[in-house]
Amino acid sequence: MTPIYYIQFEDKNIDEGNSISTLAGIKNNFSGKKEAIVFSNHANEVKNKYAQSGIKTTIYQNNHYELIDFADVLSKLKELFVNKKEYLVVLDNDNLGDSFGSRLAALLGTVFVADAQKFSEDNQVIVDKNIGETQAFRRIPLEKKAIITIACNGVLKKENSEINIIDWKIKNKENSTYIPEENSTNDLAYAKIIVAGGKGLGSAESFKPLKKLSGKLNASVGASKAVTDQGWVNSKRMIGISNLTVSPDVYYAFGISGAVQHTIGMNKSKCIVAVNTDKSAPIFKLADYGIVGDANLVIEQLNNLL
Amino acid sequence: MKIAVIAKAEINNPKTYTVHKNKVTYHPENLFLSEEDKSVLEYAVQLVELKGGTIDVYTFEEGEVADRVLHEALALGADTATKIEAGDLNDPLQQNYLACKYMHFLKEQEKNYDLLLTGGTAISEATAVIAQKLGMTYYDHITMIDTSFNFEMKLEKGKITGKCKLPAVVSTLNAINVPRLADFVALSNALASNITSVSFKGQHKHMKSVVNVVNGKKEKIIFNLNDDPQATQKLVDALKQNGILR
Ligand SMILES: Cc1cc2nc3c(=O)[nH]c(=O)nc-3n(C[C@H](O)[C@H](O)[C@H](O)COP(=O)(O)OP(=O)(O)OC[C@H]3O[C@@H](n4cnc5c(N)ncnc54)[C@H](O)[C@@H]3O)c2cc1C
Repeated sequence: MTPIYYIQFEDKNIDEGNSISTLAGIKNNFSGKKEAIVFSNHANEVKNKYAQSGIKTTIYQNNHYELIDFADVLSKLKELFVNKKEYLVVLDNDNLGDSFGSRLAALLGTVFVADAQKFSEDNQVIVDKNIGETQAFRRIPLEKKAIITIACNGVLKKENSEINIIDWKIKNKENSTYIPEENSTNDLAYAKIIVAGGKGLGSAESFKPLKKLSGKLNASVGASKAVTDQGWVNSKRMIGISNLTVSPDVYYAFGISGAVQHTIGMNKSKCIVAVNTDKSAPIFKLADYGIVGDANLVIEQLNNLL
Repeated sequence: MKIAVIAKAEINNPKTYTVHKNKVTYHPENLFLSEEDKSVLEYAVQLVELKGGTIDVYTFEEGEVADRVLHEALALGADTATKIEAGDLNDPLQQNYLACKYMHFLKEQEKNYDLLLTGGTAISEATAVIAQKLGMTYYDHITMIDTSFNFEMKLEKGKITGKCKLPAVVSTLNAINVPRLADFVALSNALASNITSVSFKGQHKHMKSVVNVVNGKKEKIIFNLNDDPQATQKLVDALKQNGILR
């Protein structure tokens, strides 16, 4: 079974490239031996997160490391992988992951597949890659050495794991600057999983169980305008034309009718799960999964089941 | 300035492949130069207008698509057009091999480009290989670059900004400007221009990926809690089974 190496970046000043839910997804998705390789400038603060992940983790620590130090990270990764006979290096399928993946593949002379979806993993890992917006995809059998970026989410079960912290030297400081976007501190804008509540939940009180569910799913809480107008939830959490556009992997809509002003802000979600008492509610037109029924009851049941 | 552009057809066009009863059909007649490549060409033309120089355009597309893409590029301001008949650059299993061959070809021809541009990120491994093997700096996911070479690279929650060190390979994330349209004279001149064909010695021996059909239309899965008290459990099972919930 090909060993899997997952690369993460932990820069205390830049919140990119450290999605613990992808780590959980990989843990649950791939059966090969797994290891996380982390580049960090605050190992002592992040080590507990990895120590409870159930995945052996090596943290390369340097107080002066910054996320923009691409060259140093790449030369360290090259050193780690150049003599390995078999590996599947996995990164998040975002711009940072794609950038590192392609650069590392070029350095190691291996295959790189961006935005892969796992198909099978018996003797050989086989991945699929959609061709743009066509109805076709490529089926790609990976060689013994390959690098992919992938979207997979999960929730980590606490499990102790081995952690090594290694001091690491940085030589080539990059002459560039990172500028965060205005929304960068709003977890909802970048969430991979969103649980959103609408007026159908009936009261501000009903958002407490929804918040509990968000914790279980590693999700962020969103809302419709009808809810933020009532003051049940802060208006920064409003999804739709008047505020945030989101494109998570999974969007749960509880008691949301699916008005176009709302759906414009969430219709790029990869998977939509809707719960509504009205089976003709427009949200079901978009939904991949759903329940016709009381959203408060479904949230309570989900909290018990998960 | 010596500038090279790798031009591609618009891979994301839903009309590229159509599907009928599990059979995929490829439609070269629907394929034109991608918007992203038009805009890097526009950027190259702006540089040449300002600093002087030449623009060579290359494509790995095949047959009529290659000719169409190159004629469009010539009409938009490229000086030379070269068709490389070597393999499918969109296939991740072939990118490394093709990029190495292409890099050798550029070295042999002593091209020494200051800037190699390409639009979109579909061939990102190829561009990374070319940059690395030719000792050029590599900039990818670029959403802005100006004629003084200040750039912006887009990440999820922010951007990296800086100034490009030349010689450089620049791959953009999306269209970085609004390209000027080619006029009728430019179009007719382009159609009469020569296209050079190049093929590489040796064959790609590795596996190639296979283009397949996405299986049928996704079925909606909706349960009714009023008729079925197990609806929530069934939803959880379905989500788990399809990898949505773990
Ligand atoms: C200019 C303009 C801009 C707007 N911008 C936005 C925007 O950015 N974002 C936005 O969200 N809206 C926006 N709106 C408002 C939008 O048109 C809708 O009014 C709003 O999205 C409705 O919110 P809702 O679905 O929560 O409430 P409702 O439309 O009241 O729907 C509630 C839903 O809950 C269901 N329900 C009731 N009880 C239950 C229960 N117990 N369990 C489950 N389901 C139940 C009902 O069947 C119904 O479908 C805008 C409107 C305008 C005019």
